[in-house]
Amino acid sequence: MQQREIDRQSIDLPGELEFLSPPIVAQPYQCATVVQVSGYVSHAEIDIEVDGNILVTVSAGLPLPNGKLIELPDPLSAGQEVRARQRTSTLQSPWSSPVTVRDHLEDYPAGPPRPQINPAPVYRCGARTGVANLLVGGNVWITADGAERGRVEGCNDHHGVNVNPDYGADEEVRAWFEICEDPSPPSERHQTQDPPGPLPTPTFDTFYQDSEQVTIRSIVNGARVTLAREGTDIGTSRCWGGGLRWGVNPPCTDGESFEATQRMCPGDPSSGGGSSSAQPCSDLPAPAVGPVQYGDDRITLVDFVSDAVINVYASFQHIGSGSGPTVLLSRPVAYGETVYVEQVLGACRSHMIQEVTPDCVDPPIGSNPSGLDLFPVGRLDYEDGSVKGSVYYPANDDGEEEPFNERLAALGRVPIVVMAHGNHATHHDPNDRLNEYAPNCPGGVPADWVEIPNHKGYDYFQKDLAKMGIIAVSVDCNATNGCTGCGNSNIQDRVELILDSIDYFRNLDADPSSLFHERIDFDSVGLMGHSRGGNAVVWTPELNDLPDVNIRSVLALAPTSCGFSNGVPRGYAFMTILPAGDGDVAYNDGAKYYDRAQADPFKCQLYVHRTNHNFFNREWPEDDGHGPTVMSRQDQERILTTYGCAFFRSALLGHDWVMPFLTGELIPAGVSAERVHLSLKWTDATTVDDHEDGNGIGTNSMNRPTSQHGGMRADEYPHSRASGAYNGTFFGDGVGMVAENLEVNGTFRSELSALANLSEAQIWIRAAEVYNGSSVPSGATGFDLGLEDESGTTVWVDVDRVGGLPRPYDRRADDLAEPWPGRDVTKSMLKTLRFRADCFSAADPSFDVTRVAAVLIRTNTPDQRALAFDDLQIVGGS
Amino acid sequence: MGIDAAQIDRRGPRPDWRLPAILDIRIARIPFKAREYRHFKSVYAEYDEAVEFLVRTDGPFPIRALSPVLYVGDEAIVEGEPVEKGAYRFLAFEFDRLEPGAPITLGWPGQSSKARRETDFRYELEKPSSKK
Repeated sequence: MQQREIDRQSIDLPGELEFLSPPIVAQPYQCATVVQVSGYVSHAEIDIEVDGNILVTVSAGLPLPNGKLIELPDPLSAGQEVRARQRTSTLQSPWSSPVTVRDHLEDYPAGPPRPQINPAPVYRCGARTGVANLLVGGNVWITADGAERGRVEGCNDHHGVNVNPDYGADEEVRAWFEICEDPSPPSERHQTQDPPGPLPTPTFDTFYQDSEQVTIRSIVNGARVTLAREGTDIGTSRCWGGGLRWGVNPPCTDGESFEATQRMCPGDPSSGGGSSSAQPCSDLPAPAVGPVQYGDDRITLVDFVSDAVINVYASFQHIGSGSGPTVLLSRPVAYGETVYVEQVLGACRSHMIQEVTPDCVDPPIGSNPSGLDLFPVGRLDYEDGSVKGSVYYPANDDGEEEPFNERLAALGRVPIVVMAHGNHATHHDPNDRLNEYAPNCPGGVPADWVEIPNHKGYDYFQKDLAKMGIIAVSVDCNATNGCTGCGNSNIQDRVELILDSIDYFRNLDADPSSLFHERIDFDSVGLMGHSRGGNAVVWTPELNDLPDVNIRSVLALAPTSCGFSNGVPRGYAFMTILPAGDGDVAYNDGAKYYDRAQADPFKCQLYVHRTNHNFFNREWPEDDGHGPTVMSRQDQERILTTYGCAFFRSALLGHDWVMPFLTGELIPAGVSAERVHLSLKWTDATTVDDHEDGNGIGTNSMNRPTSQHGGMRADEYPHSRASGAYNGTFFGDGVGMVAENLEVNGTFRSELSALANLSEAQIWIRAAEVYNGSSVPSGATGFDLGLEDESGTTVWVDVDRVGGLPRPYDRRADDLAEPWPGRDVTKSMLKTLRFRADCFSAADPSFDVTRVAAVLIRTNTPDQRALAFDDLQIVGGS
Repeated sequence: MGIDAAQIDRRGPRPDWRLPAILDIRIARIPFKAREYRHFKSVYAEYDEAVEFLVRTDGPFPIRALSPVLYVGDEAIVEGEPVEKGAYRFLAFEFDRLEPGAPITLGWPGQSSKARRETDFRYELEKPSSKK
């Protein structure tokens, strides 16, 4: 998507608004006596209809921060249909799409998710606490040292609870939730802390003439905020912390000033006064828009004025009016049309408007698949001779050796993921954490050195898996670490420890005295291994002799392949994560596993820029990264938990709806997803050409001819370091295509085995700019993908319209400067690009997408850079 | 209040992955018995002999994901373990791949011959190796 701000005067938008967007109704649940509506314009009138009867009409007020909770006369019942519409003085929206009331047990069979105190921490003298992860319409309450201190009946999904009296010193605070008299587990325990002193001075977001809301920031959790307007006190409000939106009436006038202070404990000084004044209408900016792709039926805003009306136009037609962050449109965005977005405050229309050119593929930002927080987390360390490690599991409450979660257990056995760390020192100097060594190395270590719990370096990932209902074990492999060679023997030793730990848990599962008794589903086993551990988990399924233990998914994180170097992941879902800046496994050996994998039902590879080898393990302190500065340790961990949870949820919990995060059809929130270059291959997709058939460049995998024309010279080459490779920049283990771009408009045509109806399909192809082995040129290169129908009509879509061709990750300088690898291993690393077939038919109505005869590639830049391709597939369609 | 001056964070020290020098190598054909595992048979279970390279170095091998590889010519010997202070044992099982007289170098997996650490030793079996 391309986006730029333009002057309103430069275009002629319609003067009259035609379409008021329907508001958005949050998922309603049985027993709720409220529904949450959002996306309406300020002060709209809202009708709520249940099963065809308008039950409530209310004036909604301001749409943010949390929409409108609208009370119903009676509790909702499962199966009822709820919808809403909004009305202004001039327009009435259509009804929203009906939302079916659900029994919460349909979505949360083990009971409601546990509430989260958000933001944390809680402070002595705090007067209000935010609670998130709630189901709309339930009841939430807060206890301090076991006594109820505040309650809300009929809550929002994130709700503030006033506490009375204010928190005292060192109290244990928890949030609780119920819906339909079904209680969730309690929140984590939070101990009250002393509030910061001095209290920070509040700040204001920029607000404008005609604003009806000011947003105050830097608020301490639980503080009382006093707001003055032009020197006159207009009230005091409690705040859960962070930001506070405050409605003001009448609206602001140009230059009008506001001042806010905050206070916590009586007798302690208030903060200094933070002030700001309303900016003139002429300063009102254009709103900033999130990703928009062809066919979207809504616009998402990423920066906007909270109480502004957002108007959306396409092809100079008004197609939506609502409020941020999401505005529904009267029709999907057409291919190639330009979208304009403005914001309006009262009589003030933004001087600048946002011009957006949607792409064929520009996925929306979704939630985060690691955010599923259902259960408290129990933990324990286990040890039985050489078999040892740590385990996190869904429990009744947080803590060590807490009982297994009874409600989850009542539903059946629970999947288990077993993790294995890699090789690292096993001890460190107690006075210098960076001074590490191992007793099995020459000279050994002093007696007072501290053992490094390498297996605890993934506890963050273990906890995330446990809270969504997966038992997460991390095996202590220190016995195999230190000055050990990375050959078959060492990898076998690691596999043995992994299988021993699985066997240990089989015994616990059979032991009536164990909290894991009959709790573990050994038919749903996942493995995650890092470095040599990643090498080991690829081999564990091959060597597994444990009866009834079925390994369904394997995640190899920055794996080595120094043992069993010909490993082929087969028969399970496979994911590998390759840190592009890995200074240790610098060849990104996992790429070989990906290429070889005969996975079921899919294989997936994440090549992640600005990541290193070590920062995925909290016990590995050094930054080994080569190339640009790597992202922070926390950001690297977030990559692992986000995509790792999506992987295991899909493979072990059957949560198919998180797969789009792995195919790239959804972008996970809260991670540096722009640095993640995904490859994914479905086992059951139709392969046009994977170049593995040995039939030469002239015939594809469908045994149909290919042809080359004009300024393209393509051939098949090992995409590996084998002899005969195009150059030394490929590090996988397969055969692919390299196309030399001799001049613009050279084409490569691959014929399909039969005319294909691609109206519901996508064309997937792995592609990359080939690194020339000496320098990474500035600016991206590209190509066009074409589809040719039965009549010979060919339509082209530029790769830039589907996200662009990945660039080589330039690590040359560090590679050459360091003793390892001592040579430039900047790579030509392919990623999967998705071309939606409907973009082709939309681009040229004469093209018959139901009778496609061939797929084509065309050079479109004069830079003469070579391009790499592999795995041309048709996904979906018929 | 004064205004602070920016100080850009410098990257921490990188791991030091220089390899030590080899002081001595003793090569012998030795009886071998593979480790027995509870869950599977070792890939070396069929071997009853190995060529042992007892290597003495002037410092320890770096601890990292990859481990140093002893090269006989271009044949990589990856199986290795420390045996005593300053000494490592590498084991090779495919005798016929070891070319008598081939130079012995120390490197990381996949390193080209010119990037490896050269030694004064060549492959000669069943007697103490001799300097060039």
